[in-house]
Amino acid sequence: MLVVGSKALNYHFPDLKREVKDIDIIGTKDDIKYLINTLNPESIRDTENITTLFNIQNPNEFFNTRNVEILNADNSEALSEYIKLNDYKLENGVKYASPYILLSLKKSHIHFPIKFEKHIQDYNFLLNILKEDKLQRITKINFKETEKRVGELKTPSLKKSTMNFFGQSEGYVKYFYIHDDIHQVMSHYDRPIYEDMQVDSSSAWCEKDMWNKFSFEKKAKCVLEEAYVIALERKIIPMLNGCGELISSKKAFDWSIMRICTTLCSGWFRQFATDNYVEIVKYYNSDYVKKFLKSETDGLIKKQKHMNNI
Amino acid sequence: MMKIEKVEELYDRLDYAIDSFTNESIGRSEFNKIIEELNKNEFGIKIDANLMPENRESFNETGLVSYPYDDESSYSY
Repeated sequence: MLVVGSKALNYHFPDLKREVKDIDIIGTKDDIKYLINTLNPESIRDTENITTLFNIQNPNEFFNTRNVEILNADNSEALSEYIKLNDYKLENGVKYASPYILLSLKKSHIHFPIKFEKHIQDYNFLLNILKEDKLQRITKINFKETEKRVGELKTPSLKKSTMNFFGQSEGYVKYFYIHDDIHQVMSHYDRPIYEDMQVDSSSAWCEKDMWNKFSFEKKAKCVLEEAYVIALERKIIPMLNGCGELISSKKAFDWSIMRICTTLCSGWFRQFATDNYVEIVKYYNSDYVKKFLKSETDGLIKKQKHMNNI
Repeated sequence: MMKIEKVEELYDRLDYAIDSFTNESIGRSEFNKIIEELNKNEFGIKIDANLMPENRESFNETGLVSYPYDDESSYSY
């Protein structure tokens, strides 16, 4: 039985003062039986991969939360490998998984947008201290197992309304903007940074070698440019056109950078964004929507009419 | 004041109202009142307060995280 999650994080890094809402354990079926008998939960939810004990009736000095989650190592190659590593700190009979295991667990889940804000802070914290994932092989297995279980992200259906920031609505005619123009307007320099990664500007393909030559700041700004454009295209412009939910500029940005780190992008670009999330968001420009509105008024962003099939 | 400055100001007030509602510093009725006030703008821009989702929990309210996951769990099991 191995303690993971915020309880283990707090054990290794007490100054972090991470809130422990529940206790997470990697355990076998026998461990699950033992914990059910010992902790006497009010109710249990049992799935193939996780058993959750709700409202435990026999809390003690260690099990002092309402709920306990046990990740079933018998049904997971990755989880059983974490146990086999014997990489833990023992205190009062409790095995706390090493920071390297905690980082590996976080890394294998981080590209799935589940409680992303919480996990990304922990992931960046651990990566900053440990510098690298020494358990890459197990991380990959755990990632594959997670991917197999979770499946694909669905896209939303947009709602209709009468709101239109860009002039009166003409029946069902809505305006849509030229993607490259939005990119140009959101550029930190004289042109979008992604263009500096392209050998051939007519192709969307970006070269990793060219990316590797960028400074950290340029890479961070490149991620930000993508985030602003995605936030505008997917959230802000639909909202201002009256066909999307109301969302603040900050939330739209948080959402778009979460998507970059999870399911919208992949490979080295996503990895850089994920590994450096906390640093990148420090460069956030809260006026990006106003920059867009001004550029739209100044005619810097071409728009085209689109007939909705409503 | 130029038109763009007024539009920017209108956007700022809308953004602040959405943010305040999202952060639970104002409730639904106060939010609706602010939107009603904003809808008196000179540009004929109409904001539909009903497009503000009730569920204000981070990210979920954006409607995109819709694949099956356990609300209680930190893990994607």
